[in-house]
Amino acid sequence: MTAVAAEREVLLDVAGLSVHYRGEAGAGVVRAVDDASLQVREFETVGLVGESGSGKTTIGRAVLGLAPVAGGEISFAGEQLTRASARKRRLLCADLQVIFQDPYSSLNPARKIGQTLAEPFRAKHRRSPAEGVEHKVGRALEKVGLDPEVADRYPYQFSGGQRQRIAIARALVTDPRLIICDEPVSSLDLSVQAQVLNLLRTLQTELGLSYLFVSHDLAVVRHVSHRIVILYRGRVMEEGPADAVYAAPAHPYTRILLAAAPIPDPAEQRRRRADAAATRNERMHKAVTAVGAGCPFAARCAHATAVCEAEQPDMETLANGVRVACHHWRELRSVEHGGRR
Amino acid sequence: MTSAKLDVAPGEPSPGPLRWAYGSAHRWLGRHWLLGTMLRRALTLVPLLLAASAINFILISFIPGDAARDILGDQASAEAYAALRQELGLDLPLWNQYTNWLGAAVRGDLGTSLATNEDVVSVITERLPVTLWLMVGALLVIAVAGIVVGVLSAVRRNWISRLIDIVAMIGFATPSFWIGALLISWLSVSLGLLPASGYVAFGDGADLWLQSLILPVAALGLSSTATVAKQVREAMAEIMGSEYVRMALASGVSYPSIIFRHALKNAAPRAVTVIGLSAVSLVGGAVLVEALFALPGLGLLSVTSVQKHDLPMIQGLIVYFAVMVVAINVLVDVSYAWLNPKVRKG
Amino acid sequence: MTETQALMATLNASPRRAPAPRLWRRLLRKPEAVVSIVFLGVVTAIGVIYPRLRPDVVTQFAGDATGMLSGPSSAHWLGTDGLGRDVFERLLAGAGPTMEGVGITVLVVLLLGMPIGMIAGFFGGRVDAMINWGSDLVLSLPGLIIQLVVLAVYPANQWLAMGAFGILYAPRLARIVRSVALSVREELYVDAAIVSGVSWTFILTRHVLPRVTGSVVVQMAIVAGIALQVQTGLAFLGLLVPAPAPSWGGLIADGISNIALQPWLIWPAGLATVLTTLAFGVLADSLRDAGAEGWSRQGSRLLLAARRRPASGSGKPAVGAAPPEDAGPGSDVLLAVEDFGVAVTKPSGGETLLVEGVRFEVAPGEIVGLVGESGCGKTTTATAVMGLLPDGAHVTSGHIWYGGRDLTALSEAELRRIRGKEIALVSQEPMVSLNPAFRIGWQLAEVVRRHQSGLSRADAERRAVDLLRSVHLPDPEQVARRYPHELSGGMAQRVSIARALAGDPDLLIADEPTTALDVTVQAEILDLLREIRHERGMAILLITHDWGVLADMCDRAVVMYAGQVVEDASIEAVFTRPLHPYTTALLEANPQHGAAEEMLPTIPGVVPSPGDWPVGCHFEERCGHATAACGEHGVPLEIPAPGRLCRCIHVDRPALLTLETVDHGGER
Repeated sequence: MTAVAAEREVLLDVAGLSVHYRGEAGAGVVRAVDDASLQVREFETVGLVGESGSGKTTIGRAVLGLAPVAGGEISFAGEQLTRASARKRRLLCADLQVIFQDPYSSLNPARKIGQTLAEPFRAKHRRSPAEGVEHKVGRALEKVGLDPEVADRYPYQFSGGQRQRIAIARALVTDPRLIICDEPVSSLDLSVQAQVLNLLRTLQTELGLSYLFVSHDLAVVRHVSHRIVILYRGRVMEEGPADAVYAAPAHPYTRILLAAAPIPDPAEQRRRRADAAATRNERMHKAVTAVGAGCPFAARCAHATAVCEAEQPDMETLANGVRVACHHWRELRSVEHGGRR
Repeated sequence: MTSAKLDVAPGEPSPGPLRWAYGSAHRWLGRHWLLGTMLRRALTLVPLLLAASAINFILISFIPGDAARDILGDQASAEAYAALRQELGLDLPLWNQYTNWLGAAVRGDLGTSLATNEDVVSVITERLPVTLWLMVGALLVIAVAGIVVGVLSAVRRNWISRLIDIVAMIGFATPSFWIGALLISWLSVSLGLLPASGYVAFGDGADLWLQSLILPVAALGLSSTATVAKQVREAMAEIMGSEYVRMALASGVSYPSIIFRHALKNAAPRAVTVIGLSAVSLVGGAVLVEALFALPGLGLLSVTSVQKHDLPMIQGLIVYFAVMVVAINVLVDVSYAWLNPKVRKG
Repeated sequence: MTETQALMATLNASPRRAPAPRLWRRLLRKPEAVVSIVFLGVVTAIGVIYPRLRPDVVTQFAGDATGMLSGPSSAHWLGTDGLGRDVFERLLAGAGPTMEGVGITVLVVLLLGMPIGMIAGFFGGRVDAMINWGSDLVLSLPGLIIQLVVLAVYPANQWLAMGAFGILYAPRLARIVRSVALSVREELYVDAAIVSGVSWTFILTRHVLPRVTGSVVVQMAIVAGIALQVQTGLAFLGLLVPAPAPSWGGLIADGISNIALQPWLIWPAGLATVLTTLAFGVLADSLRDAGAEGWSRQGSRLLLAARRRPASGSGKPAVGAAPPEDAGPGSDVLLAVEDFGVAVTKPSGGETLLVEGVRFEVAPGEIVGLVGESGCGKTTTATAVMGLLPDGAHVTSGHIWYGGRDLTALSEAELRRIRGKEIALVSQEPMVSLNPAFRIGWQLAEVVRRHQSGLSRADAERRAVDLLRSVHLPDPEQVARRYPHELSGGMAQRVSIARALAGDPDLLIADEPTTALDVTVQAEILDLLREIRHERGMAILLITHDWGVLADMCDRAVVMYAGQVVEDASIEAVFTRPLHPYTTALLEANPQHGAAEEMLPTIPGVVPSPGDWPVGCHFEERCGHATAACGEHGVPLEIPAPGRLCRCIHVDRPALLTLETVDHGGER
């Protein structure tokens, strides 16, 4: 699967993206995203993982044109997005859609479902679909398993899971190629979450969609993603096929992240806890305030050396297709392999 | 400094004194945030005074006829008229008149009254205490009564709450000068308890001074009291339902401590904000109340100056009133920052 | 969402917001609003018509020279003024300039304030900063004085004077509109519209304008009231309406000048002013209420539609009614909740059950997990144990045994001695659970002194620092000096735990203690809780929705669904041999178990809200094993095996041990 994916056309190419916000007075500039690169190929789901402040949501918003780009390039289907004219952007945005986290805020409570779903056809310079807007909206609702009749109702008549389906239908109405999913299931209960995850998968198979799947939930990301990108403080730490990253995390941060997420299996969790206790270090507790010139994770990393704090590591490609930004990944890997055997 | 002000999310009651003061370039002020807040606010006075006086100048330029005609009357000769115009600087272009006035104002000279030929600054300074006492008294009534009643009704949510709602609505609907008229009618005319008009200076007898102020202060303060009480009650009720109060209760903190420490300190910034807003509106109310009770303060002076077209006096009054409003805002800002360690975003 | 908000959302039965399409209809249902509108309509009509109908009243200089200052009589309903003119006629004619002044101001404020506010709020940035600076400036101008200057230049020109007031007031409306527009700008549906490529004008008119309208209408009623007072005030000073023409302010001034001779004269115009302003104020309040109802109406309707169900309990037990032999469980049990139920009183009367038939036990030093989806009653149960149920919610049945006492029967004063001292609470949102106005050290010391009377302030402060050190906060002295907003989420949660330890309680209720935290911080906090249990032998009731946290932390699991405990088992048993179909299905739906390329087994439908619970098994509608018997009557908790509880009539059927039916369908 990985090999096939690599041959597919690159749909979204984010190269060296930086997004800066003006911080509070005296705090200077906040680098929400700092020189981050990633690609999404056709028919592929890329999981974007990180903790709060990692910039994962900001990358998605930058792709959508909702966050100011300070540097780097974003291209979609070969077209430049970063410097695209408003008109071109509008044309492209039919192919590029979004599903947000909060199904309550993402639908205007005062507008009927049908009105909300027809919104993309209100855009200027866009041809109305041949079969008519109403038909198109009905089709999109059917695709997400809802009755086209719901177009006449208001959002308050639906549960969180149903609203998220409606949000997906809105994303589908323009027949997009890529959907940015910004934590699409994190506000849903476990029993409803599975329904939405399955729906996203079915739609991908049927419509040939690509997803950029932003989430903090490692289990969900693992379940849906072909490839994953691990972010820390606006930088990409590790990136590669999901199975490879989860099986053998190369970056110390990825390891800590994976070890920290408890899994629903008491026996296995006990073993993991023992492992984690063995590798625990006091540096993890350190409150990190400023990022120096080096690796952003250096301040919390158990393996950090002088070079980590001085120099930003380059992205290196491993044999299994994983790319990692760490000065010491080789030693770490050999130590671990030595220890295991 | 002005640009630093713009960096702070501008506008809301007081988003930024601490953030501004803690800015890396202002470490010293960071240790003296009180001073920083006052300085920053004081600096907003400059554009405000410029704008207020400029508006005034532009408006005055539209007056048919001018001060020279007002002084000399219609019978004066053209030569005398022209000479007086030159003497008053009225023949200069508006811009020059303005810069002349500004130059003098900076040196503390606001000109001479056209009506009485007196020095504007000394006339206003002489009358200032009357207005100040009136406003301070009204503010005390508003703040003390408003907070006490507001806290009481938040703690015991009973008929007092309903009553406050009704009284606040009636207070909103009743003009201060009409409350004053009712008070005169009952307490002065019918019962003869207090003087219906006039002012006695503090130096001429403290009891007479107090008597002359009671009715005006009541007229000015009463209508805003219920509004403050209502706001305090809402703030207190909101805080009493907050997570941190619930968690304090869960930790075993006593009920009086919850009300008088935890809740009151958090409600205080909102109380200060609404009292500050009331104080600004008192400036306008003072004009009417002074006119009603014939108190020789700045408000009455404004009315008579307008009636007499005494333009230098009006300009001087505008300066004084603007300074008052800014002073109130400074006080609000300072107490806000003092009461609230986390100066929230707007 | 904080717990309290979450609980209140449960109480409101639905957090769903409804649209506000029928504001006027809702408004007209309020009698006080109708009275205000009619009254204002009549006053406006008089103001427009009467001066044209009776120009002689407007220009009348003097009236009946013999009947000056007469009180109300049949000839002169409201008496005569100082010049013998009929006060009633002058009052009616005076409505003209008054309402005209109000209209001018309202128009200016609306035309200026609304667009400026929308632009500032929606576009933000530099535009917003400039507009804000300008507003600050205008708002600092002494309003009435500026009006006096305008009147000095243009004597008795109401249009300019009241227009100037409108300009000076407009920034206030602009600010309110701005804050609404700003909050709409942050709604995700606006982001979605931008992504769809629709134009700014479309977003402003279709998304922002409808949300702004409500508060603008309210503000306009308030502006009208204030403008009326200003108009009357200026007329009172004799600056607005030239001499013979009547005005309400002028009538009051006339009354005051004759107050010694005829005190009645201040009343007619004064009352007219007060009543008209009052009508505007009442209208504003009604509009505000009607607008608020628009957003909550559906919630209350859901409550009204709640099915009435027979309560399973017999009502709150009498104080101290527990007989000795029933005095709860033995000494090996710290907390025992028995057949416990909580209901909320509906606005319409009647009750909705939030929780029923809850039963579980916590042994000393044990970590028990209370697990379930949102709205299943976990937090309500924990809140009830602390005796902190919100207003409107009350215990309907059962007991909470703690140390030989029934907590449901204790008085508030007795509960207060238990809180923090014997049972402590750590909540979901560390940042909002600490008082923002006080330093950490002060807040901890207060709790310390509460539980150790006689401790000096300095000793309490020292003990607070010790507590901070015991939760592994680096540099505890320095943390004690900080305010809550100067802490990170993980640090704040450590502080909360330190506060919970202050009274050295035997039971700690941790309500989703790590839900708001990042996963690496979560691991640290969970380690800390485990350490506390180990070192102090403290029992923990851990409330969570995360089955990973449950597996990581707990000795026992109590699974809740739709207000009921459905399963209770040791942690190994619940994961390896779950008995209830809900537990089984939920574990299978967890993406952690599913292989990457496979569909997840799902549970159709959604958790029913309180009030929508079925009569029989609460899970019946979503269960793959349901039979006709399941829906017939309430299912009791049974003991299928030693140390286990399960609420399922088919618990003996082996087929339940695995969920073989996989449902890919949608929600019902």
